Amino acid sequence: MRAEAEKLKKFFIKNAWMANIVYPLIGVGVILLIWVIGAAAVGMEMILPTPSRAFEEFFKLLKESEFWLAVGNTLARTILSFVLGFLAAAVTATLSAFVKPAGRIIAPIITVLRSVPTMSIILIAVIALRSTQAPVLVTFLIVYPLLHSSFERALENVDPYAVNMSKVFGVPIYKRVFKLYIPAVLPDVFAASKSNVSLALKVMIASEVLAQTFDSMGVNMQISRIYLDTAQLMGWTLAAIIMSFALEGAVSLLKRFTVRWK
Amino acid sequence: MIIKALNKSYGDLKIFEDFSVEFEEMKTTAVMGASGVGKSTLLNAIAGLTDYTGEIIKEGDISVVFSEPALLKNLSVVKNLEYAVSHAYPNKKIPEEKLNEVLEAVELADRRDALPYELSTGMAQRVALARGFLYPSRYIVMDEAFRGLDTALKFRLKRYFLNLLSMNPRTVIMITHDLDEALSLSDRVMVLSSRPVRIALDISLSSDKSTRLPSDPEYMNAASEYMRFIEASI
Repeated sequence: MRAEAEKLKKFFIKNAWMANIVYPLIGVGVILLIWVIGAAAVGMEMILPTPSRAFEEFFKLLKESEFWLAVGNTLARTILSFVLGFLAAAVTATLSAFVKPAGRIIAPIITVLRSVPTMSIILIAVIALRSTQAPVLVTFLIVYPLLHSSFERALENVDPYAVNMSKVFGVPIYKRVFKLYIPAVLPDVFAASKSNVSLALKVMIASEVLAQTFDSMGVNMQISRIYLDTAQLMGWTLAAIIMSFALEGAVSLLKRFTVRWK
Repeated sequence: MIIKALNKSYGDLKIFEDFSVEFEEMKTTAVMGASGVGKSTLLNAIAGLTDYTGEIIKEGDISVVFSEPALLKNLSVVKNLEYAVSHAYPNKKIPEEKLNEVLEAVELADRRDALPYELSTGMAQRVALARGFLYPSRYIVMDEAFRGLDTALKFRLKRYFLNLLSMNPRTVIMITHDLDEALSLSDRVMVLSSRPVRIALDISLSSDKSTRLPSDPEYMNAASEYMRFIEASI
């Protein structure tokens, strides 16, 4: 029995495609199975449509130009907010890690931003800004403190011996930045970016719902809800999931490219 | 190197108060003392890694060998050496013959393109030692550079150190807890006492350290003196 298990293990290790394709597909299959069982148990399409109905709606959406306009707008706003959050986090995390007084000033700001309920930020932003601007600000304010903390931790975790060695040997700053700090923090930066880019999309869609942003995924989901078209709502949800995968995939691709460049 | 009226506190805790010492040029001084006495603080002050009041007069650059190799994970042996050292050479390039000489002295000439994860602990520490000597400094400070290595490895590293030192003479200040390391590698052994730091024992060794053996009278006398001091201070 044990020998067979060992054989199976070796087979999976040898065949990387099993780990990269078959396993994830099994995971997707489990979700679909739960979904089918749930839909059958509920028995009402208006509350929970079957996966086949949701996919049907999704493919219908793909043929509509409004769909692509909404996806494009939401995607562009998500990328914009994420990039702004990323840049701001990179600047403030670097300041916090290297300039102690700046770190003391920034720390409570980050704590406050992290503690404020997402809904409060959304509601205030919706009142104060245009419907196209509010979701960008909200997503930025949610993603920025999370990225800041991850980047700051990554900078603090750089090997202190290597840091001190570089100081004593008088290694030029540009060399320290490009050879020591950036390669040391890149894995953590990419890990944080990967998890936060999909969070950014989720927050963006939620803000678009509340801000009633025209030609956005959020507002289209809201319209589907108003018409009790749950199947179409699920179609939009599938689009959001695929976008999330695509954004995470883009971060992974960027990581691969950067590792090669390094 | 002269240290004059060094003062250093951590909060209310005074580590150094008007501490003065002179390290003889081109000699190796071993600094010993109980854990927490202030040895590493002294080294950090000399290396410019901590703030202090007082004066440290030195006539050249410092290089350092820590207890950890402090190698950059993504760079090969040679690239690690270039990262830390090349800027100190004309045209920002380490002369090839100098690089080969040092790598051969630590028996790493065939591992120049290896990445740190491909090196054993001893090899990585040899790279750190090579880096310390490759930097055109006047002083080398070593903070328990042979800590955590097994006896055989320590023996080989000590040989590499003496080999490098004979080729590139420097003023060395080494912190150690190991009496044998102190007595076999240095020209002077200094034992510090704490609160505030004072030199409690100062032993000079005049024989050639590259040929000195534990059975030599000077080694044995110094070891006895140190042991008497330890027994008296318990």
